[in-house]
Amino acid sequence: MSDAAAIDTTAGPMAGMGELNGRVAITLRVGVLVSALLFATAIIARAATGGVGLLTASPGLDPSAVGDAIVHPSALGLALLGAIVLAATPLVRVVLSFEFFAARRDRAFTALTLFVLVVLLTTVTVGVLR
Amino acid sequence: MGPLVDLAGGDPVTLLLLLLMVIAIGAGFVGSLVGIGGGLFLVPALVLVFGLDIHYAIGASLIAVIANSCASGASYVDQGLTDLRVGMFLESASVVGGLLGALLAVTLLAGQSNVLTLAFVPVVLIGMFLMLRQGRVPSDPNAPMDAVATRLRLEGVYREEGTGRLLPYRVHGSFLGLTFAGIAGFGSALLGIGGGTFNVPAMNAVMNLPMRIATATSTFKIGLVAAAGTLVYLFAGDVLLFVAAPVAVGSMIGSLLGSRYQFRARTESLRYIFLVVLAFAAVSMAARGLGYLP
Repeated sequence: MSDAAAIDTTAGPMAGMGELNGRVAITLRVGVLVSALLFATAIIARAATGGVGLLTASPGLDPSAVGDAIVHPSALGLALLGAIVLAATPLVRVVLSFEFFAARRDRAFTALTLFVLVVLLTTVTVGVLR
Repeated sequence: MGPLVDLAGGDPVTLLLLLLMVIAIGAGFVGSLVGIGGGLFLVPALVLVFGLDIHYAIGASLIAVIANSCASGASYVDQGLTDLRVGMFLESASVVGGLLGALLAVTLLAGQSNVLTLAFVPVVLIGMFLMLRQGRVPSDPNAPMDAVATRLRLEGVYREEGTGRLLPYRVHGSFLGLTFAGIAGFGSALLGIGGGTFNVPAMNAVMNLPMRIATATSTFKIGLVAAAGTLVYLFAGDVLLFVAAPVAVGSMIGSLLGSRYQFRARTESLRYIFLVVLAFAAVSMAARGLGYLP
């Protein structure tokens, strides 16, 4: 029996957190699974077709490179998508948490998760501008 | 090398990919097992064994940190060991530190590989020091919560190791914990380490979190900081995707194994082996940073 099964998350300090725990765990699992599949396919594709050296840098994160990776899958494109999915996974769980706390009118944690999202958005903006 | 290349279908690059994966499995396992984050092992391995420029080693390591965090984080969340509220509270400082650290690495320190390599040395030494003196500070269930912790309801219950009893814990030292989280986030994105070496002792000793909760919560939150750093590195084109891919897959496998055995394994003797490995890494990184090693 896991600890989670025995700890009451319907009352007391952990009230309501069981639902968020479940959402977060699923999000992390799906993100890991999808990115692992993309990375593994990229490695196999590279081994099968060759051509891409170990020291090939990422093409950058401009929309055309990402679009090209989706429309014309290649070993390098699949690896890029794997990296994007993996990097996006923690961001998605922050969005889910924001929605969770906002729905429960937990103002403090709604503000905290919104602040984290704003910083992450700033990161993306700075990256695009550079 | 000949038989190994044959095993990889005659392709030395495929062999290197497999070697990267094996090293990442080890780093992920160790990182998850002793709660220190695999980057402390992975970055020196990529620099010293594979001869990568430290910028690329950091980019790959950050992706490994996310993989480690998400894979073992899901398991810890399922087990009810992760305190999401404490994790999200600390993340608010970690992501700011992470953004600043990553920006510094790809702007002012871009091309300054020797500086970054040397900067890694004190971090490894501090990590060794913390590992050496890492003892569990018992969580005081009756400790008064500070005003911030009270406002944010930073408290919970956990199952005590050994006795199986459910015990409450209450957070104090919120501001100091937040400061540590910001510094750890900065170091994490700057040098590609998870930051668990610094997060776990701070959360345990400063914030009164039980060790199991501190380890699981730290594992959970380091992924977000690494994600912010990874985005900056991806935009800068500083990620070698065919280094990152096997490293990520290996880290996922290693961290899943580590999180499964974390609370069963006898980590004391392992700790001393890791200390020797880290001491070797510190000396080698110093020699490389000073130009004594190619």
